[in-house]
Amino acid sequence: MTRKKRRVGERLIESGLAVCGLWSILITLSIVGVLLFETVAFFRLPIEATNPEIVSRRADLQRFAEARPDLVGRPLALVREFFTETTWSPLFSNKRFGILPLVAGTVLTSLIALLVAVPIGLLAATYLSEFASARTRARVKPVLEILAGVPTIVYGYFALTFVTPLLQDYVFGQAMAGQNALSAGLVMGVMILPLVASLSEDVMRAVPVDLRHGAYALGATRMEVAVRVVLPAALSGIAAACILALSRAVGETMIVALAAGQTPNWTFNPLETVSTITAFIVQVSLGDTPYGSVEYRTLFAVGMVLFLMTLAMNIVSYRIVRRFQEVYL
Amino acid sequence: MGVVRLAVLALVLAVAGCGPTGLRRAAPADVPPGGTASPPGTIVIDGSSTVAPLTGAVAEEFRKTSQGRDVRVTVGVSGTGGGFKKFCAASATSRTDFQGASRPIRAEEDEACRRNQVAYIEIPVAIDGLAVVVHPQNTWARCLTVGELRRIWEPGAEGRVTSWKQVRRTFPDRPLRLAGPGADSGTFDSFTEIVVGTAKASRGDYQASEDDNVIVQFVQRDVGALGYFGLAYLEENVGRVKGVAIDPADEVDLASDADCRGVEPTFDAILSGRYRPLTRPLFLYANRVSAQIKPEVGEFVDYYIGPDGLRARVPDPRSPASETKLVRAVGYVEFPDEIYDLGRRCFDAGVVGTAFQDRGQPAGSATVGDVVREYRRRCR
Repeated sequence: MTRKKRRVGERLIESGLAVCGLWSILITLSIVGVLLFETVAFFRLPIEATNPEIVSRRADLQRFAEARPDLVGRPLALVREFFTETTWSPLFSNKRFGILPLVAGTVLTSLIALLVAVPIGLLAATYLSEFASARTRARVKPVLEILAGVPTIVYGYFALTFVTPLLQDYVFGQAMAGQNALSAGLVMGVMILPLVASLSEDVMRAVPVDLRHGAYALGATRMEVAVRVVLPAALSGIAAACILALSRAVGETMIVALAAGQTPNWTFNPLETVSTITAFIVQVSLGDTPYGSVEYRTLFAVGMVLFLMTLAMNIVSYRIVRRFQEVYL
Repeated sequence: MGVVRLAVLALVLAVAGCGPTGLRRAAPADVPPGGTASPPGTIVIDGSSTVAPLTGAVAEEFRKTSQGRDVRVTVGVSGTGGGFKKFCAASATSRTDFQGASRPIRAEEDEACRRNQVAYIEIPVAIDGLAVVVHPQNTWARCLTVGELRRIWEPGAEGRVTSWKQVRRTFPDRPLRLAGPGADSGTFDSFTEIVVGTAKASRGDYQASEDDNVIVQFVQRDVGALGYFGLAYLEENVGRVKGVAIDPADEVDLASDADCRGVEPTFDAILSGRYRPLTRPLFLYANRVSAQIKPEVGEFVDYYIGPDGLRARVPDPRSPASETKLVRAVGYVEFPDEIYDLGRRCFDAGVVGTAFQDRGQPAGSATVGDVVREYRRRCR
């Protein structure tokens, strides 16, 4: 009797947990589904534009057909333009759909952020894990993590109104645009710094003390232990932390929208104004883009690209973790 | 399998709960055709982000009056196009009582209203001016023609017109750097429509920002820079940037600078109709059925265009010691008083439809004179 009762209770808890687990999977699936559905709708524009009935009814489709008669009836041409052309102006009347400038802006700002965050973050992690006393670590680590708690819009205005004028006045002068990839990247680097530092410190601390003791027994210095024993042993975790930070940078919106600009620019010059995928999304979302219009559909096409970029990075990070993971028994 | 079904059910319930039906009050069964479902004692306004600050400021004052004390006024910002979509919606639950618009209603929007039996009354409320600005130390570009502006901003100029010398031969050979509002701003729509001839037709290689302060900052830092935004921002940034006088002529390559007979962008020049063509009228559209059955709708219009509404004296945000009209504090210019009297008369008489329909796709650049003429014809 009691045994049966307990089994019923367990079953209830189990199914409750399963619902919770399925819930997040369901949400993910529906997001991917919507994204996929709307992306297909975007690439179907040239086909829809051949249907006189829809075109006469829908003003924006008519505008699409007028602006790009060369795409009407040729979905493959749109696909090709999307992935190979270097002009992105779907919100203008002279519409061009080459996403490369947005990808370039995203990659550029994220790389600059990584260049800031990875060296500093790793040094901070090494110090905290190998050199700092327990007391220092207990104080410094939370402070470092506060950096991750600053609202990103604050970082954005910091980059726009403090970092950029500073760099313009003392380093680059007129060569630097008022909104540029460099300031946005630098500040974004500061934002993701705690992510790199804190996660790396965790994995470095997880390296067994025995390894360190073994190295000391062989006469290694503290520095040698840190750089030649602990770092390699924690490599998989560090790599995963860096890729997580990179995904965070790629998806970051407010800083880039404010400080990097909204001018899709096919350039890798960090001093110029660029636009990123997320900056474009926020630009369209803030305006009054009618539901189902051409502009609205571009949102999902670029969102899909962003999703694929992050997905690719997650897969790479998963592979790295699997490949380099050291298993201590 | 049961678990999956449960999860799906929960998802459906959650989604349904977030939908408009869950949040909005259900439509009263007795909404007359063409009316709105907003309950008595509330005024629902949506539309242009350009008009919203003015409407918001007036609504705030309106709530302090004896008539407005118990009225709930909500001001949404869906943009002129998005707002008209709601204003003329098929379902009364999503319709609004008022629609703010930075341009006259378009033919297709008018048709949607007609299809859904939504009759509207058009009320002109204020004029917005666009200012072209350069660096204070820019000594050459004191005056530009509309033709020259087009040469700078048209899509074909992208990557080609990069020096001031290409704008006018007498200008120095300095790099021309551009800043302006992003493609989602109403200012961008108006400027491109007036200057280039097609709304949203613009070169793409300029620093685009919806934040006008960024444009000010950009122009302020570069002697060769040129930007544009609403006139209010020029007034706020006197000294940091300089307004360019605008000559309505289509001419390019002027023989001498003296041939450019421009008018400086000022509130007074806009009011007198001399500053052309970079101005646009702003409108309020009222749902006629709401106006008939809800007294607060008429009271709000009364207050809005009356002497205590947008023309009331308020402390000047730019120099707090002095006073200015509410409409100027928000950044726009009032029409001559006659327009408001005419608008009032149109509203009372229930004159529906727009005064601008027969002009086809109306240009954004209707001047004060045009509006006065149209309204004299309609409401007298």
